[in-house]
Amino acid sequence: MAHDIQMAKEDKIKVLICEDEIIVSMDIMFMMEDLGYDVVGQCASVRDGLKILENEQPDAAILDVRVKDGEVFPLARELEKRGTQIIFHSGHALEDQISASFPEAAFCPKPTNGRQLGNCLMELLAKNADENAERSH
Amino acid sequence: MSDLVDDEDRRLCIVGIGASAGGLEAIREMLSSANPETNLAYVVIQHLDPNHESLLAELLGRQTALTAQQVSGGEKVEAGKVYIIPPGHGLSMHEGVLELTEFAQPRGLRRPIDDFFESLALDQGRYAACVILSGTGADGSSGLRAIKEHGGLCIAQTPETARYDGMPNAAKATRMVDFVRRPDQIVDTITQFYAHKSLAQGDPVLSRTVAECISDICDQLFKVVGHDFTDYKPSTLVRRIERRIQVLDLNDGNEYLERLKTDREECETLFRELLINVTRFFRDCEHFEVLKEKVIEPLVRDNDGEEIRVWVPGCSSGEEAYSIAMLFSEQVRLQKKTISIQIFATDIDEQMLKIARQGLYPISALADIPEEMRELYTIAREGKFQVDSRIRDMIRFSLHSVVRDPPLSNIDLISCRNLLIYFAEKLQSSALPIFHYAIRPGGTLFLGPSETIGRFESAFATLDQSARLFRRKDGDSDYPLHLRGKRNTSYENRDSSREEVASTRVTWQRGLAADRILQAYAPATVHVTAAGKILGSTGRLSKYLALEPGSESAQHIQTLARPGLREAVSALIRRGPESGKRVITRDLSARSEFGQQQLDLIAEGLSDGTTLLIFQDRDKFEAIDDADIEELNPSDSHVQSLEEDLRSTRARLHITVEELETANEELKSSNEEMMSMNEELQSTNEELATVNDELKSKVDQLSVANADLHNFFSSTALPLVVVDSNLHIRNYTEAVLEIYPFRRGDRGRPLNEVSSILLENGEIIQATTDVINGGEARTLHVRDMTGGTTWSLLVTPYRGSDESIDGATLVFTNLTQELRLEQALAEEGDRLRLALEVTELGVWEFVPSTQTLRLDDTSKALLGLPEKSPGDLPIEDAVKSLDKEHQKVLLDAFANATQKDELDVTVTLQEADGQSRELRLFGRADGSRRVFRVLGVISDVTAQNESARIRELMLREMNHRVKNMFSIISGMLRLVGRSATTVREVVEGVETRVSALARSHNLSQQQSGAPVSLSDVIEATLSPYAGEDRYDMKGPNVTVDSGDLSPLSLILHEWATNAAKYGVLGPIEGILHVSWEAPGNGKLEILWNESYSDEFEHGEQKAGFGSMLVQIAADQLDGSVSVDASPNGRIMRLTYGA
Repeated sequence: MAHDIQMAKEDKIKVLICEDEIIVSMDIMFMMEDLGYDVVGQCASVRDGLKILENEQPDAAILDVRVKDGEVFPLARELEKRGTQIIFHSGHALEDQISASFPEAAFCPKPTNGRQLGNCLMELLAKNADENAERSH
Repeated sequence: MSDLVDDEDRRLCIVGIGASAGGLEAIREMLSSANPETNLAYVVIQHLDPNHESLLAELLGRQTALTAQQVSGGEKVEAGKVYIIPPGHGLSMHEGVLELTEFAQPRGLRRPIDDFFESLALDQGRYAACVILSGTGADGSSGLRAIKEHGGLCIAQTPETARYDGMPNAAKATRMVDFVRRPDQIVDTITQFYAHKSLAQGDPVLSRTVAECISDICDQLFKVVGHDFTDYKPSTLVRRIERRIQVLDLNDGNEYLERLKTDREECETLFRELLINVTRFFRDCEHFEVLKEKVIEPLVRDNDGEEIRVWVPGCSSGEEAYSIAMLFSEQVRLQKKTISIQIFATDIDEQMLKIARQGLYPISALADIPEEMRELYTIAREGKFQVDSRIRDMIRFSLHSVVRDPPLSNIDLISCRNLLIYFAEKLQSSALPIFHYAIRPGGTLFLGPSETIGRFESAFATLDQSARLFRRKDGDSDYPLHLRGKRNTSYENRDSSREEVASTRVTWQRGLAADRILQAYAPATVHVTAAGKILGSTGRLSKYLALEPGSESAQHIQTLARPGLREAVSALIRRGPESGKRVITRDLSARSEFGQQQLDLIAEGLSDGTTLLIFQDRDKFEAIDDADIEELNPSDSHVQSLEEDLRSTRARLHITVEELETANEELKSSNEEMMSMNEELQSTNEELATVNDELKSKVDQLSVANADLHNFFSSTALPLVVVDSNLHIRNYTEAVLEIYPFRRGDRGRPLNEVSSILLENGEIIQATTDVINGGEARTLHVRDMTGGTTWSLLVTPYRGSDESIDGATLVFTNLTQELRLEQALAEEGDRLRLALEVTELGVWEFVPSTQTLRLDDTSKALLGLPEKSPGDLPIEDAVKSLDKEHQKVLLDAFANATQKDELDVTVTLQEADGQSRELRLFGRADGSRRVFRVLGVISDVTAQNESARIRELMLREMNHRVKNMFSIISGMLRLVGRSATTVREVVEGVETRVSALARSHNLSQQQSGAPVSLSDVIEATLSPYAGEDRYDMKGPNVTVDSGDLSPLSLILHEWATNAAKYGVLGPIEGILHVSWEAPGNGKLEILWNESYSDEFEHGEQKAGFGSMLVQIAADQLDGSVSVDASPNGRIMRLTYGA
């Protein structure tokens, strides 16, 4: 299982969490850390998220759709540009709408547990890794 | 030319119809086939009882297509109408206008038919026709002569078809009737006659051919009838010949000439037609008055025993001759003289002379004779009258032509009236010398009003110009030899054709020689009546008769006969030999004072019942000397005395008989009058019988109508009362009894005396009175006493047959049910209206057949149409406020509605201010009415749709939040589970934090949308842990953003639970000071100061889950948290905000 793999801090996959609900944000952080990911940033708004990106280059991001200062999509666009894998984690039934805008992104509806979110992240990473491999061939 | 003919064709022709008893039937039969579209007008002259209103016009009007009207005077006669004489008046015509005339004569002598025909003839000439129908008497017979004379048409009903044939027969007897027809043929005959093209005045062919043939026609006529018309006025001849051609329906003069040559009868007819002239007793009576004064009176006065000789040439049917005879007779009577007067009346028409000799005239002509003479000189005979024999005996009628035959001589007066007018100039100028020859010097010539002596002023001097009286001047005149023997050759031709007509040419016609022979050489002859009265004599009679002047019986031959003859004479006269038989008594001896004469006495019966006695001498007269005077035999004397007795007895008998005759005549004349009244009554009776028949059928109809009405009144559910003008009850229906409890005897009672169940009795009476007075129908509502029932009362005027108001009709209609319905309907309507108002619904109605949309005000406003636009709009106009796309949507919806029976469409109306409005139209097809339509409502659904959208949004949000909540709780559980060691810890940790979140949620929902104050948040956080005495709060009024509420609450919660577990809210004595300040720039600084009462040393505290939560929450708030612990207390500081 992927979360059993122990890696050095430098090798760990870096994750950004953007979630305006403290409890949920903390929960996800703990889940990610439990799964061996490095949570490089926690934010409750697009503004804070973008501020984090000034210093960090996350591999993946778990984004609530609605955050403190509106919808998360400007942050998502920036992440997409950087090649960050995105999981939208939301109570909104917006999967169709989001997958139309962000075809590469995954969607994980609230409420969720660590296994679901972890599987989702792993599948996403694996898929993109395959694609990258195919491209390098 | 053809126009002229057409105009002539359309020329109005007026048909006079004369009828009396039995006439109604005949008139109806005649006019039932008449067509109103012709140029004929009819005037009916009926003998009517002046005391009865006539229904003739009404009765005829139903039988004929023509318009029938009774004349009231002044009517201009128009084609296609029937004009009917009113009772008690005569009619005359002047320039096509009917005028009423008053009768100058007493009942029984009136002759309205003659009077009208004469005025009709004068006024209309050849465009006049007369028809004589059933009736007794002879009215019309002289009128038809006038019609005929002026060229009109005469028709008589076939006597066999007439109920009373007196009038048709009298008309026929004049031999002037053109047609004798059954009543139903008469109109056709008239139509045909007037349709003949010769009627057109200017028909040139006819006039020319007749003019060409006229001399041939005269020749032919002369050959057959022996009279030469060559020198008669051609205009008259042509007119009358044309008329015959018209009657016979021939084409021109040549055809007619052919007809004449083969048809002897037609020659006679034409001959008679040519001679028609109007004559009547005392025609132009004022002229006769002058004649009496200036001529007859002097003649009689100055007479010294000589015979007065009068000649009436062209006497026609003799009225003129009789008139003159009466005048003379009257003068002789008045002047008490005995004068022998001989009147010679001559004419060329033997038919007319026959009429004249009889002296029988229609009773109607009696009116022309002055009243004083009527009694004396006329005798009534069976609807006619006869001129008295004394007058008749004065006149000799004979066949003689003025211009052809030798004239009379030594005449005192010639009356030749209206004869010369028919003569042409040439003939006139030969006639006047003849008169000059005939009249003795100083004698008089009496001419007609339009005749003159022309250029013979040397022969005649004017005696009275206006009366046309002329005195013959002295001077010899030549015997008009030029006439004698002229064209005399074929005379026997006609005589032979007329053998059956017994001519009574009198001897004097042979001239002077004959007279002389009679006087001197022929046997003495006496002409006597059947009674022995002497009518005339020739020869010397003194040997046979003895003259006894002054004796009443002097005129009887039995008295005058000499002894010896008397018995034989009496015997012969008593035997009265039959006509043509001769009886002879031989060897008689007439003894006179001077001698004795042997003779035979021959008696010959004549056709008129008189007897000629001829004394034929057998021997020479034996004179006797005085000495020889024979003694009269006693037997002779006995016979003589017996005869004397007989004579006186006879005289008495005669007087008695005469008295009886007078009485009889009076009775007869009364009878005449009664007859004519009877006839009038008969006419009236016929009318009444017809009216009666009609009334019978009307009564039947009325009974049926009455029964209908009765049934209606008893069966109808309509409460109805009829009152008369005094408000008395006249009739009512059974149904009204529930309102007015009428009883049987209440008909005729005043309405206001009858009780009713109504409240408004006074108003009803008032309204009814108003209606009767004003004539306007009125409606009012009335209630019964309980108020439970309401009626609508309609009061209408009751109009009689003459449209005058004769009461009123009260009709009640029970309105209770209707009023309830009306009220319910009004309430329903109000509810509906209110509903529409509240819901702001508009109602519309679409009619597919006309493609129109009916909109109410709300609909118009919703569709953006001006308020004043009409309610019914073409569908295109109704949707014009919409943009093109929505117009199409709506129009399609309407188009489909007829098929789908339903319509539900929402369109958006873009308004001028940029706002848009959503309109929903919902409707359903309705085929229940005559016109198929779609009915529906329109409403503004903008707000409704908006709220639906919001609800949708909220739902989604709620869904999101619930899911969020689940995430929070599951996250919370996991977080607590990380650090807790016991289940109790997990439960407590989760429970308290969930409670904190719930409280902060409560705060955010408490005042919906309103910002939450910081003090409330703190108080809410602390309340589960401490009473108010355990803490205090201080700080400005600051609000918390809803986004910050949740992290802030968690931070405060962590601090509070910590204080409860380890601080001043728990085991340590002290107080909590919470204070905050807002230093600016949106920053907020909260100071959580736990002040211990006693010093207390904290142990080392590890950074647990709680402090991590506080740290992350502070991050979320973009804030920072610091903790400063000392033995005196612990101070936590939170600073956040932009």
